Amino acid sequence: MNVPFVPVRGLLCTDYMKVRPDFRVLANPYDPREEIALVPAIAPDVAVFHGIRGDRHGNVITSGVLDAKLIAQASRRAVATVEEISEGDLTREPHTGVLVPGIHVSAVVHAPRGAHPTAFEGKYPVDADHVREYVKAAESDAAFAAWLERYVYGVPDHAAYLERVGLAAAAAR
Amino acid sequence: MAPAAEEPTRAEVMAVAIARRLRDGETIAVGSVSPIPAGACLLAKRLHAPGARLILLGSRAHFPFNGGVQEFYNYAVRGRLDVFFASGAQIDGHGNFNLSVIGDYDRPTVRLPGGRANGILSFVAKRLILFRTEHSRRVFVPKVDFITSPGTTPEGIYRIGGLHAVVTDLCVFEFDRARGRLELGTVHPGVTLADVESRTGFPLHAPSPVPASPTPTAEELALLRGPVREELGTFYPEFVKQQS
Repeated sequence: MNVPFVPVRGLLCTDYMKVRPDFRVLANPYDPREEIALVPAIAPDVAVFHGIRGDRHGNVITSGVLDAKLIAQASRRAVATVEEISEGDLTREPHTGVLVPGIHVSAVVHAPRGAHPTAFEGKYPVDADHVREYVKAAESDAAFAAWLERYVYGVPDHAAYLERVGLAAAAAR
Repeated sequence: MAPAAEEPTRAEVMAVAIARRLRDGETIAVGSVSPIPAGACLLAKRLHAPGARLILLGSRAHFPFNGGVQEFYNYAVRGRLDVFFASGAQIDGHGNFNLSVIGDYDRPTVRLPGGRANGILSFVAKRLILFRTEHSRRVFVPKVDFITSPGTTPEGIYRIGGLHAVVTDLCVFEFDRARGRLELGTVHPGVTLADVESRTGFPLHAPSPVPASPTPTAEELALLRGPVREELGTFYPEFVKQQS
């Protein structure tokens, strides 16, 4: 859309109007009896989203419950991680889910089980034990730093991450 | 399936109290982390509201959109939701609730995830029902730390919906919009007015005597413990496990 702000109905009389000086109030120019909140546009540099399949043209099929197509269009660059790479042209294949056209996508990365530890589209369930571990780690800065070291900084790539969380074999299937 | 004669749990009493407020043909949406309202919707659909249109975030079977949360949101802000459910980390007697932060906004002791939708959806959903499984003085406070949603708003502000009721593990509060305050509606079976009073941090406005919340019927319990539980388990596996 490339507009600098959008009007939003709601928010007025909430404390968001106090803590967010960038949220403004305006009389609706088309009906001055109404006061309306304005919020600034968010223009991300990069969007990252996960998909079911991607092809070499950048087309990605993802879940219809995600806002992938929206964030891809809002951002300067969009990176899709996908469960599978497709050799053909996904725009020419029947599919369920939502197709994010390649024109919105800067890069497609093959990352099976890439939604871990969350569930993805019925392909795999949530890893509840891992989420519990994360919640526990989030209780203190030291524990969280250790979590980051173990699962983020301490693994050189996605394959090593899968190895660490015990999913290397499952992802290879 | 447990025998229906078995005493209902507090979660079952809450689900039934919620289910009986839902009407046939309504469009009813439940946000994330809300297993009790989701169970109540699945129950109502099997009983008196077969024509209800359910939007249950997290469920694949009950998410009738393919354009993400954005599409749900656009649908909601057009005033299409008859009922929407939220929780409340803090709720005060004026119907303000806080799902944003506990403590100071910039240095909170807890930062909560419910702010992004509720500052808007509470203006457009016709009947907003809050549910809370912990009825205590840290939840039902004299004044919320942060107003995520105001109970009432002055004229000139677009508001086509708002707070309708609060269902807790002890009772049901009704929101009186004209008076701008919560009023005790019913207390759950086995709960006394004194129990509610001692665990509520604002003065109670209660009818005398206080009516009792509905006692779940054998049919309701059988459904909750059978097919509702099974369906709920497809998108709230952890919650269902904890209920056994």
